[in-house]
This record gives sequence, C-alpha cells and structure tokens, in this order.
Amino acid sequence: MQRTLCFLLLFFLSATALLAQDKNPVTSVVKEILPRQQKNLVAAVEEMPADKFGYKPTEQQMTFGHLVLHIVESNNYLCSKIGDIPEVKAAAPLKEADGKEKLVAALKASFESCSTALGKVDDSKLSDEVELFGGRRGSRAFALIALTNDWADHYSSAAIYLRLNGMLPPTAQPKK
Amino acid sequence: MKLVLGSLFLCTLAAAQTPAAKTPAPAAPTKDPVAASLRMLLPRSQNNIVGAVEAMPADKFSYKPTADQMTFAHLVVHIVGSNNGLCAKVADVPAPKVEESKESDSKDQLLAAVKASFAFCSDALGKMDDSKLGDSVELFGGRQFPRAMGALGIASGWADHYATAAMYLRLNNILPPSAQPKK
Repeated sequence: MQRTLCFLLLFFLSATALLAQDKNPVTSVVKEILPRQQKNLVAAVEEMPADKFGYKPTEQQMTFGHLVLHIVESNNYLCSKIGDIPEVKAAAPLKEADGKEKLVAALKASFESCSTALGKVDDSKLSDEVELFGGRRGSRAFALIALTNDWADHYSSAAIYLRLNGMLPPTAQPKK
Repeated sequence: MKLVLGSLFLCTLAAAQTPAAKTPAPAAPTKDPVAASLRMLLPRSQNNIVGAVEAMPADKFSYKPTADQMTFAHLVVHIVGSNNGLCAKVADVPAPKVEESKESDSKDQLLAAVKASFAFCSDALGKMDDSKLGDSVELFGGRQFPRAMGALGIASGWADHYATAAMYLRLNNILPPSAQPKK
C-alpha cells in the first residue's frame, strides 16, 4: 500500500527528462505525467476481472464500472476544455453496465484525447479562461491541475478496489 | 460514494465560483494562474482532509483495509510530511521546523500536526507566484525537478490522500466529510 499511495513519487522520479530549464514548465510536467497515469489507470482497469465491474466496497459507493465511466467522462470533458478540442462523444452514451471491453476501449480513447489536447497547449495559455464545470469558468491552469488531481484521485480509488478484491494494483506489482 | 469520488469535481466547482465567473464577459487573465489555483484549492482540501482525520475514531488509527496497506495513522503522517515538504519547495520558503510525526503518535497529536501543516501551506502558498515554476528544485529522493512538478504534486497529493482517507472511513461505516449532508 505504501508503494501504491506513493505512486505519485514514482512518477515524479521517472520525470528526469524535465530537469533542463523549460520555458513551458507547467504544461511540460502535465505532458510528462500523462503517460504514467494513463499506463497505471488503464492497467488497473484491465486487471479487474470483468465479473467484478459491478463491485463496490460499501453499499453507498459507486461500482468499479461507474468509476471507469467517471474517469472517461472526466478525461473527455476536461481535456476538451484544456486543448480547445471537441469533446469525445460516443455514438451511444457510455454506461457503467456496458461491460469491461467497451469501458476499457473508452478509457484508452479518453487518454488519447487528452494526449491530443495537451499537444495543443503551452504555458502562455495558462491564464486563459476556459469553461469548467456547470458552465462556470476558470483558468486553464486550474483545469490542468483538476485533470492531474483527478488522475491521482481515481487511481487511488481504483487501487483500493483492486486491493479489496485480493489483487495488487499496477504500481505495487514487482518490477518485471 | 459518488459524492466522495466526485469531491474533486465539487471542489473545482466551488473553487471556480468567483463573482467574475458569473458574468458572461471574459474576465481579465488571472495573474499567477498556478499559484492562484493552488490557493483556491487549499481551503476545501484542508477542510476535507482535516475533517476526515477528525472523523476517524482514535482507536481506528491503526486500521488498514488489507494487510499490505498502510494504517490510517501512517496516511496522516504521510500527509503532514507531504504538506510541509512540498509547500516549502513550491513556495520557495524554509520548511517548518517541527518534530517529525510518527505513526504511533496519538490522534490528538496527529490531528494537530495535520492542521499545522495546512496552516503552513496556506501561509507559504500565499507568498507563491508563478515566476519560479521553471526553476530546478530538489523534490523527491533528493533529485532535481522543475518547481512546477511540486506545484502539481501538492494538489495531486491532496486529491490522492483524501480519496484514500475517505475510503478508510467508508470501510469503517463512517461518511467522509464530502459525503455528509450539508448543515
């Protein structure tokens, strides 16, 4: 668990490419964080058995399938605002009961969308106002921080769901 | 749980709700948008995390959901260390000279330490601006990173740690602060 909770530290340690003085330090850091969070979150969702997507630790909590749906929606929405790109919309709205295969595919697509969006921003745009939630507006920097916070929040939850089902989350698995 | 897991969404909503945000005309660009964002996020993160530590009964500080996970007390120690260390680096101010918290400390001691760490962050981030985000600073494991990494790291830490604390509370049949009915 200590390794799980300290996964942030691990991805920071892996970010050695950022050592040189960068004129876009904030967006460079987010671009550096993305692949590791993508890898961990996708691996966590792939690891959970399909028949456990209806699992929830307590009655009032969301199911694992709902958590994945929430991650997809958060990625698609925030990254569309961050990169000024159209929000990814499935032909039919994604549902938590859509099954593992469909949810994994949507999750992967949402991270691809984030990768595209982050490719379009640099630090000169951090003060720009963008639409956030409920029609309210905030700085693009705020949206970027919300995005990386969501990845941390959601991975933390996914990791504990796995643990409670007797599985080691990706960041706690021995190096291969 | 939807309320808990969506706390970040709510946090973002609340923090972004400024008078300027209600007007249709574009507001003036935010000065120091990263520092301003951290200052907006801090109070709600502080309320939630301190509220979660207060909500856990003293005799449950040694609780851990599975054998391999950290105890709740260890999580609190981790939060205190993260706040004190990262807020100092991010704001380029000296870290507070405090006795290091231990997992074996009492609830009262750990609660006081977590409150003090947020008070320190509030003071430190109040002095922060965005001009030094590209500077290289020592962060984790003695290695150098741009200060921006620390800025994003402190906010991600709040999200990560609160999600974990909320889960520990739920597993003990206690509603986390963000899921409790509004008073």
